[in-house]
Amino acid sequence: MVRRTSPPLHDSASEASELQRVLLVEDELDIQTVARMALEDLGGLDVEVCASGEDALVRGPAFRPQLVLLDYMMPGMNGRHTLEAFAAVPALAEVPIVFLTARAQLDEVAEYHRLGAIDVIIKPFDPMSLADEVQAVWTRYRAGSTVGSDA
Amino acid sequence: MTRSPRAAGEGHASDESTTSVWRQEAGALGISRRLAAVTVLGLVGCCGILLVPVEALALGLASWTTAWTYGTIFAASLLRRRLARRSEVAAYLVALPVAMLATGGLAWLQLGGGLGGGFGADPMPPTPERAWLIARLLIASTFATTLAVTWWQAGRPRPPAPRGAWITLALLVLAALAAPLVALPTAALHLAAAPLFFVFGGVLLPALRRGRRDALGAGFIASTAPQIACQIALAAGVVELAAAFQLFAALMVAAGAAADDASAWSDRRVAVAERADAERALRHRTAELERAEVERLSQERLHRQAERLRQMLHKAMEVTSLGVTVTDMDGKILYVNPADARMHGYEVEELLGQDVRIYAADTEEGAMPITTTPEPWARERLNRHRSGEAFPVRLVSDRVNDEDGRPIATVTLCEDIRDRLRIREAIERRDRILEAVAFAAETFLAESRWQEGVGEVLARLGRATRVRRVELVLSADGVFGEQLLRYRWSCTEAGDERLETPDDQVSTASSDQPMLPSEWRSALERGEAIYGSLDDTDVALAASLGPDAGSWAIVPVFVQSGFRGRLALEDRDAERRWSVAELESLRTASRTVGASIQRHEDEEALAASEAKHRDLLENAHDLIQSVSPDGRFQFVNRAWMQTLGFDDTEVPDLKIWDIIKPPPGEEPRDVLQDMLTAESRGREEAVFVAKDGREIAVEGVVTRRFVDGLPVAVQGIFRDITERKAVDRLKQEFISTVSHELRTPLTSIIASLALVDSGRLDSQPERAAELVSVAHRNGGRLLKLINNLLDLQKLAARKMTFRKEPLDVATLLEEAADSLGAVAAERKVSIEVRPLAKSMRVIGDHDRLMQVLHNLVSNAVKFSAANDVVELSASRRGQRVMLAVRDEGPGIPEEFRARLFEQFTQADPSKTRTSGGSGLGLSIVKGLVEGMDGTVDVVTEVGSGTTFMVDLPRADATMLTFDEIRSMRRTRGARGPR
Repeated sequence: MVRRTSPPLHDSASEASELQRVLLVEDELDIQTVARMALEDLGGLDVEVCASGEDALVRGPAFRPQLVLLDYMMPGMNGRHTLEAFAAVPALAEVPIVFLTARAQLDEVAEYHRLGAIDVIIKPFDPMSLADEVQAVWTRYRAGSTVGSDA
Repeated sequence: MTRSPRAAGEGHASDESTTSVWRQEAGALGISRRLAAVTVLGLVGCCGILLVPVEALALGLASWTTAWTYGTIFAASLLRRRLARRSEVAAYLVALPVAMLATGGLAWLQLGGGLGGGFGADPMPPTPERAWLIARLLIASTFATTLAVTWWQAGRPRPPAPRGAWITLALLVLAALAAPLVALPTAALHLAAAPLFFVFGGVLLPALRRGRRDALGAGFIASTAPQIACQIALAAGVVELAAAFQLFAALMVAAGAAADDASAWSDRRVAVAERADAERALRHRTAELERAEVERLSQERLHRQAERLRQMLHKAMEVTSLGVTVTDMDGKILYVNPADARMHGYEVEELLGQDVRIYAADTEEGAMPITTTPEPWARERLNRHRSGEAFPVRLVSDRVNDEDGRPIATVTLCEDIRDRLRIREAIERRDRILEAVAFAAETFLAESRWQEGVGEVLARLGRATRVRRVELVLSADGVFGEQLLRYRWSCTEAGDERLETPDDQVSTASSDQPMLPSEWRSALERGEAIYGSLDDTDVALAASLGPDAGSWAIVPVFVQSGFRGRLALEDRDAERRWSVAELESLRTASRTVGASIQRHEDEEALAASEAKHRDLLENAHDLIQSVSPDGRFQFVNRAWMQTLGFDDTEVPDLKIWDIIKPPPGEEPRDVLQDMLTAESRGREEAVFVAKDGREIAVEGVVTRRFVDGLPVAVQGIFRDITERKAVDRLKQEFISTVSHELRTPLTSIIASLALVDSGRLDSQPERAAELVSVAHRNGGRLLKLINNLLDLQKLAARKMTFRKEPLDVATLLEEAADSLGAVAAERKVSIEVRPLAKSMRVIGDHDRLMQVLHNLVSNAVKFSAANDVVELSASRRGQRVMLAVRDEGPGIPEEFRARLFEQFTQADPSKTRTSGGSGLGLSIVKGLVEGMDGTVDVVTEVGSGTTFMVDLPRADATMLTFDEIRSMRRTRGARGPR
């Protein structure tokens, strides 16, 4: 199953081009801590953390994230299940997803792309550059989807 | 008419003889001479005619003479059949028109005023009426003449090949028809007259030859006179009269011809009749003479033949080997031939006059029988030689009767049949031997074990050759050493037969008889037969044979051109001579034995080879199959059937596409086509489908076998790689899991330390401290994971060492409970140690056992809800002690229990995160417990809790060390910890 990952059309141009709201779905408390610090304190992003896929489905829509950072190996719904469940939630269906995971062998990364993730960030990540990396992914995604919508 | 050579010829009224008559006639008359005379006469006539004052008449005479002359010459030529030559026919065909032209030319000169006008004008002015009249008369006369001549020629015997004559005649007719076309009547008359005379000349000549001078004269006068009158009338100008004379002349010619023919014919008939009478009389007389001669000759010949026959019979009697005796009715010998006398040892002279009973053998009932029956008879009996010896003869006898039928003598033929009986006996014996040999061949070829038929074969050979003993000696190993196989058939004088086989002679085979002399042996090895008797052989040589061997025949037995033994006939009779038939039969029998031994050995070798290969195939663990081009299985081995679940009875109905799963996008039947045509690709992977639908991944090598360029089989050896694939997958999963498990704490460590290190948190010391504690905590988790992994590795490699020490159980349990007390309290779980009824000790490694208990208890706490109790207990079970850790958790789901002790398995992975487990704990527990010669087990019920039980050896029960326990286990073949 492939998610349609073009950005929502009703967003204003300024809203769409600037990345502000990132939803982090991560079960490890320690990683939540360092990731939030890296993204909020260093990257100036607005971060909402959910400890599981189930949690993200409940609290995610209200936050209206522009991008989701999703762990794969999680108790309960794993990354894949979560990604598939997002497709059924209108507020989340169009949001691009980036996997943030330690499960990153070559064939596994290929699987994430196949599932519809726009990119993969491998753990351990560098907290100093995590926010820049996410911004870069966002920029690439915007450029790619603009070209995609022109076509 | 006098008798002449012609007379006999006329008797046969055939064309040939007629021709010869004509020829003779012509020769007799001297045609050529007369011809010359006639020609000269004609020319003279022509010259004389020039003197005649009336030109017309002169010219007419000249032309007639010329025509007449030519006619004569033509007739003469006909007589000699010269016309048969084309050149002469041509000559006359030219001559006649020349004559006619000459005549016509003269007429023209006469009438047309040629020759200087010396002649007068035509006396007949050419009026049309006259011309027409003349023409009709001329036609009529010409036809009349022609008809007459034709009739004359047809009515008499005439020479063959008349074609020339007919052509001439046709030309005459044409000339006559052409005549009226000439405008001048006079010239026309001359033209018509010329053929007339031509014919007339031809008619006259034969008449002249036959001496009919009257006819000649009459004809000449009759035809010439009216012509002359015709010319005179013409000259007088009375054309009608001239024409009338002309017609008359023609009639005369015809009449003359007819008359001549009639008279000549009657003459000939008379002559023919006379000659026929004379010939008949002559033939009659000749026949009489011939009959008399034949009679005389045949009588002479018969006489001579009879004489010769008598001589020949006498000679035959002298030289024949059959005895011939003629006796009178009283039995007195009247005649005896030399053969008969010789046969009985007498001279002919001695026997003549003797009583024939002299021949009778003493054993015979009496006399030479005197034939009393009228029929000939034949019988075999014994006759006596002069020496007194009786010998077998065959007699054939018959009576000789006189004219009245009374018997006067007896003729007896006597044949010595000693040789014949000997030959008959030899043939019979040879037949018996051949029968025995045939039996041998049949037996050996039919029996799968040739040894079973050998006794009967030897017995038959012995009976057929009438010997005392038949022996077949073979060396089992191809070398004449100690191991001999000896088959022996023997027969006593009384006829009692006995058969000995190698089984009977085990103890005596090599000792009861000396070895075969080396010279005999080398002869046998060369393929030679040895035969002889005591009479002509050194006794020492014969010592190797049976004790009473008088004569013997020995042939070698070869197996695939290697000397393997001997077949021997032995007889007590030293006088015995071995016939070629016997020796050859013996050789054949030995060859048969050799061939069957060889076949037997070949079969055994083949069977052994087949069995070896079949065993290899059958017992191979790989799946081996051979598929024919139509998809059926030619062979599959046991592993194949076991793996795919088919049995012997089902395989024949299977096709390759029933058990092989086609690659995506291909039809099942394409599989076979691929196998038949594809290049060999070395190792190939495929998926087989078992009878129950299971898919079995296999890997193997497929080869094709070709005969004459066509594939006849596709052979494959496959290995079931399902398990290997599963192991590969597990390995992959393990690596993936370990990698993840290592990265996760590392992520926290690296990230938190990087944040602290960046200095960005210098202003927030409490957050920096939090990050440092994150790093610390995860460092510990990482260490634990690594320790677990190392433990697992050690257990797997069996490199973990265990101390053996007695440990107090109560202390152990308390220690375990204490170590986890803090964690339990955090989760509001209480750990209780049930007091032991009696103190007990186990043998084990304290640290390892603590590790086990720690793991189990921490697991139990982990899966417990708040306010649950984890209970530790122990109990004695004979020589063992069982430690138990019980919780009140959710229990372990049914489907998960089987894999409970495997690595990285957890019923609920979420607990890993919340409690920091790696999924390695239970597998390490199992390894550790087994390392201490214990067992671990679990009892669980979903919803009501789980109890893990560890069973260990009791310290009081045994003084054995661990090493001893280990060695015992190894001897039992039990498997150690994994």
